[in-house]
Amino acid sequence: MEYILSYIFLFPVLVAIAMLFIHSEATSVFRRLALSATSVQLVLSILLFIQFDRDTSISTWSGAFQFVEKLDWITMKLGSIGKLNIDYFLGVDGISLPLVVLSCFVLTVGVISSWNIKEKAKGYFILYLILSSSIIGCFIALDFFLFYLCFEFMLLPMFFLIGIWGGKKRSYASIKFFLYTLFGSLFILIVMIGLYLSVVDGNANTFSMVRMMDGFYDAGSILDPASGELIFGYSARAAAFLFILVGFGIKLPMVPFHTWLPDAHVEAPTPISVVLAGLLLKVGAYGFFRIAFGIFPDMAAKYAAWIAFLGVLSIIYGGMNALAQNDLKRMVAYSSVSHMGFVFVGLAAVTTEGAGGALFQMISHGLISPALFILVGVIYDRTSNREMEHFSGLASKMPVYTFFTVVFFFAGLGLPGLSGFVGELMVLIGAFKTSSLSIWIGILATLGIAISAAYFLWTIQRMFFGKYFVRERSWEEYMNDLSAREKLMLIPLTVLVLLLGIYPRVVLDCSNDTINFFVQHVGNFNP
Amino acid sequence: MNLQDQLLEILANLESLKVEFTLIIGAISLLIAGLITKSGQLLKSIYALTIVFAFYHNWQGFSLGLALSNSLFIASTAQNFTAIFLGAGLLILLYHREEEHATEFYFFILSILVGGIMLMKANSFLVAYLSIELTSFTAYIITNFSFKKVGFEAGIKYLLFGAVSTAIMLFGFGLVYGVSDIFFISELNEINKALPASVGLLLIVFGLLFKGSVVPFHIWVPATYQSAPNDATAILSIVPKLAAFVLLQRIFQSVGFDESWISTACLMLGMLTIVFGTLSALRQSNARRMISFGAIAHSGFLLPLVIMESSTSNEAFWWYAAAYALMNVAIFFFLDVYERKGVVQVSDYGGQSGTDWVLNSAMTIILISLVGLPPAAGFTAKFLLFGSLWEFYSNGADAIYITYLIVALFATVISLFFYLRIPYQMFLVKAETLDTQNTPVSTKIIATLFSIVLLLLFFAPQILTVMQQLLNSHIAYE
Repeated sequence: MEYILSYIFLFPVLVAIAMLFIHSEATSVFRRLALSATSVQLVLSILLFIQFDRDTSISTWSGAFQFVEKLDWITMKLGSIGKLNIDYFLGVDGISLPLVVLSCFVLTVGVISSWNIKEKAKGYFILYLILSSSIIGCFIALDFFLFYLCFEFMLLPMFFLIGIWGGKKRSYASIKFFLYTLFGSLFILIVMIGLYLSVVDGNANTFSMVRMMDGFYDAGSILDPASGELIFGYSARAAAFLFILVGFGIKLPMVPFHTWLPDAHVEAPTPISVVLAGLLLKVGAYGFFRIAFGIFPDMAAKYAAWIAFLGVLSIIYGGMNALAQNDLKRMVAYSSVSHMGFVFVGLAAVTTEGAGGALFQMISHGLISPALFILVGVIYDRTSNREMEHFSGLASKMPVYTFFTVVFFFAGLGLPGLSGFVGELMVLIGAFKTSSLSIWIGILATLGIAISAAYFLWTIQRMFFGKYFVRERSWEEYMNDLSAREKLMLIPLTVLVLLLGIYPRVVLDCSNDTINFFVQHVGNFNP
Repeated sequence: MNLQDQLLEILANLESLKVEFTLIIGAISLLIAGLITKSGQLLKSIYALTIVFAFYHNWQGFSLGLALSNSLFIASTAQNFTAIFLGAGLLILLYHREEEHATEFYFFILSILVGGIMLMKANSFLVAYLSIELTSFTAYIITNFSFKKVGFEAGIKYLLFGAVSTAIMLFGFGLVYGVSDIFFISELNEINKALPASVGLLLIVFGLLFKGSVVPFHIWVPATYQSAPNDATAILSIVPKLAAFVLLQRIFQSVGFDESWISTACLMLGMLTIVFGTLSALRQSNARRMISFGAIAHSGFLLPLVIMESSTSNEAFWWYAAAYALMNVAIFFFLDVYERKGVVQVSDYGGQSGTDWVLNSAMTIILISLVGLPPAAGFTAKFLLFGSLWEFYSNGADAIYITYLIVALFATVISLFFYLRIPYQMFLVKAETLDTQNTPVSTKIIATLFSIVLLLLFFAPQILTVMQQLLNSHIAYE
């Protein structure tokens, strides 16, 4: 299993290439192939999870990564820079490992959720598999260029997946999504080039994120912390950090760069919403872990209060918006904005609880939000409508559906025993414990939980309890309870949400060492 | 030096013009063959053979340095770019062309190639002027080769603007010669810094910027690109532009006025070009016109690579130019294929959804490459541009370079918006009437090959640098 990461990374693309040669009439072949591809990924990632060495003492980032694969990819002579060196460099540590497993799982769920896609199935599944590879690639790439390639390459399949198979205003939503995220990623591109010119491995410049995190700067180069270079009178590192903040902030999404998200979610087909909420947002958060905090720890520590403020802003603003929505899917989308704010707060606390909680919140949200979108999809598939006020008293007609909705709404609002509780609790402990953040951050974040309780409970009350009612008479005949396929997706998600809520050490054990080192790495710079 | 020695030297130096001679001989044989036969196959093969021979001669290399009593300066850049031009010249054979007027058409293409190649080697003002005129006049004529009223209009427009700009340039040559007594580009470092000489230099630069379609000298571009036949447009968007940029680079290197106001002015114009090209493209409804504005924006991306004096930007210039040439040949090939199906406006592409996914996907890849998104060659080109700007800035250059970088960045995002309009129509819009014509398999194969090459250049960008080294390895250094 020497190349296990490569197998996980590239297998879907290979299947996608094979699909190119299959005649497009054979609709059911594509979904079966896609399912087998993601299942293989899932099995491999579970093997990876089991084999991961949880008991390591980490003293540098280069010692933190396991299953490392490194090959030369591009070596090109380039003028006074000397050589352009780009490596095919993969590896996982305690932060990325849980995310890889989560990705493989959610991607498999996504294929099951796409089972009914008949129109242009060939194109759909090819794009879906390309998307799968690039998502996994983001989490395991240790070469910044490779990371950037995967990061950008998520956009194109996503654009077509929303734009072709989406809802009524799909073209507006897909273009908005594409422009926003491309805008963000070009900011990252600038910083990437700056880092390449500043970081060295031996004599040559390097894209290796490991070297960047360990801080091997060329003395006097533009992003060297010791050189204190200025751009337009501002510190070059502060400017680069700001760029990174905007770049990943758009992806995360962080208020005020979040406006693409509700549109994209509302118009995307259910499986794409699942992947978007479950994984793409996590890529943004992962970028904060690995790049904003990992490579710019000095700036991160300096501006931690601001980051926490942005996090709280997302929590409160996203929550308020969710409260005001009438469209169920829009409500869930805004709840995502709100919940991802906790990742920010946890990171900014720079304590083991905070950072660990941020990671846990990512995993937990990566399970809860796909489930929520599947649940929205259930009602939308039956009625092509998801206005909350058009439904009432569904509990009497669809008890199983109601059961799952209640479970995941409670998980979302942080009921003890379910995974959402653990993440939010850890983040709050971190925020209250740290001396670098004002106590108001913690208080306002707690208030955010109360808001999420309000909108989730209110929705349950409005849609599921009371007298049975649906707007159109014609919908009546479709109001059946969950099908086997829908249960197949929701049951594993429920089991995992329960498991993580009761026994969070599944994730925490494997991330603990890395998180400790991460906190120590950033904490060194605390003012 | 007596007459005999002089004659012998000239004879020996003629070797540096062997590519041009080959092309001219080929052009003349094409004319003669055109008198005898009307067979398009034969004419095309003569044309192809000429280019291949020229390529071979170019491959053999030259001795570098001044030649023919200083009127030529042979640099490795000129030789590298000659390879690009000849490659583009060969690739336009893939375009569809009727037998009628094939003789004249390929004759003029060969002439424009000669003009472009000479321009890059020019050292005396006279040769520079003559080669500019050679490319210009042939360009005026082939603009009109669609034999329609619009083409004629565009040709006249081009002619008028071109005449004025060459006149301005000529005035610039006169000023520089009159004030500083300099007649050779290689001696420009001795130019006196007084105002008249600087103004003269600026006017020369303006003349070249006209050829390079830099704003505000770009007015002829959209009409010309839109009305010329597609294969002519491909050549027009590559040869005069890149040749002018190569000469511009030589002028900048020779003057060495890295910090002077002329280079700053050029950079300002470059930023203006990017912004203007991108914003105007947003408003176009005709697909070819939109791509033309995109090509104008690309001039803005190429310009700083010419101005910066660093070996990185040199290499990036080569890379960007080669990728640009390839992308342009490809995109005009696709536009040609679609136009012959009757798809001209951007909105017409809606009818293409669902007919031919091979062609549509390949076109999407080319457009993605023009935006500069991974994984296509256009990304690497922009990556190298950004890298050179960053490096040049961090080595202590003026802040204008970092401003340039930011402008280029924003323009890239906006350019996504218009380049994407075609795939948007193809895939996302459900048209009422769907096109049902089938594309020939050969077209599909060519289309796929274009996109594969662009993808390949992303995954292995060293191909182009290795190619450059191979070309250079044949040069005998003096």
